[in-house]
Amino acid sequence: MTFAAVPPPTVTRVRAMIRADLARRLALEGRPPTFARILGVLPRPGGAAVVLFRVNQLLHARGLRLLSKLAELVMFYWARVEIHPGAQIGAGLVLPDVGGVGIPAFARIGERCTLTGPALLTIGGMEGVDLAKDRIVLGDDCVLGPGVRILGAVVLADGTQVKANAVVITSATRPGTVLAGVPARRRGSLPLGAIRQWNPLRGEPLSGASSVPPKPETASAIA
Amino acid sequence: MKQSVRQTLQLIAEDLGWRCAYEHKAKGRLAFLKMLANPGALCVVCYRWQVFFDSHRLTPLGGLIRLFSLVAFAVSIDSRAEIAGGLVIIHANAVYISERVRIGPQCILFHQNWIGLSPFPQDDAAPARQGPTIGARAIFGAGACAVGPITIGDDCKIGVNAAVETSFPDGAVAFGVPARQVAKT
Repeated sequence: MTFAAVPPPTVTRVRAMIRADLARRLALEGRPPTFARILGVLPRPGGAAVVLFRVNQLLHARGLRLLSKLAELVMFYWARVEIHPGAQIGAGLVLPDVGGVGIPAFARIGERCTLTGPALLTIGGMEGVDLAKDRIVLGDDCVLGPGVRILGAVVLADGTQVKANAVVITSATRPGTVLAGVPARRRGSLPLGAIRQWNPLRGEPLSGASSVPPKPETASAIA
Repeated sequence: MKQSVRQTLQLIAEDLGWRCAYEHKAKGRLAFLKMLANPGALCVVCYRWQVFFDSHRLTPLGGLIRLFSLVAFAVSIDSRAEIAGGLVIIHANAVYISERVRIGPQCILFHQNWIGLSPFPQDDAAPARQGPTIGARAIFGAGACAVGPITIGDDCKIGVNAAVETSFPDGAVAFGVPARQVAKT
């Protein structure tokens, strides 16, 4: 898998991403994305974490390591969310208020993904994984239920739904798969079109915000 | 319906009293005061006042209290959840209770319990969207989740890290991901 094609974050792109994230969060809560509402979401841990992560990406890309670490610390103490600024996450990310989220630098997440509770994505401890090239890949419109753990270089296709407390150690390459259990197995599937239709902010133009997450490739690269 | 100060204090007394009973401590004012140094007890007290302020249309104050309990303890309890007296949160860490959840008296929660509406978009479209309804004296192990429109009976025990997605009768002991009934008390 190659991940070289991602453009570096710029101020305009980061701003558009933040707007998309907060607007999607409000849409999930059934509220209009007015300016006052967006301001109201900002102090809440989920909203603050998303904003800090996006700003942190900018600091990280500009090489301001000390400020970037500081932002990471603030994010951890305010929201109990640890996301490495090197992680590539598409627009429309929603993080939980209660925290407990860990996303490493080698994760790559598509657009309009929802994390609903404590979740951990990690490669650590898995054998036969090359940190230089292997990634954890989540496609667009994925939903991770509370308490989900994703271990190893796993590829989850678009619209994958992981149920509560599942431990995912194998890839799901078919779009719209529903995963559950320890270890997670396929428990059904949903049409991708319907998932996209249900997911808020579908097709809203995000000027300059497209991070172009790749179509998840086959699992051949998984060790 | 407005919740009076007296009712709020009564609910708090029930919560702290049940916590005393669970921890085998003598009830009393001193014990209650000591408990306020305990994050688990404090976040329950925060929740009761949150409901009080919300019912008096002082929603910003309720929101501030919720923000405090989120940032200080990472505990998020929606004030629209209907929780009877005697709620005990043993470890205040990443506990989430959403709206449209009903919990009976003397429920015991540990850390990372997630009780709420289904986060998945296909359930979003369901006409009558409901969260879990939990009977009296339920005990949730650490990391246990209850998701979606389910009913859990009285005296149920939900095991550590169980993911409850189906209903259970009175006295069931549920374990596993997804949870199955393994015993009956």
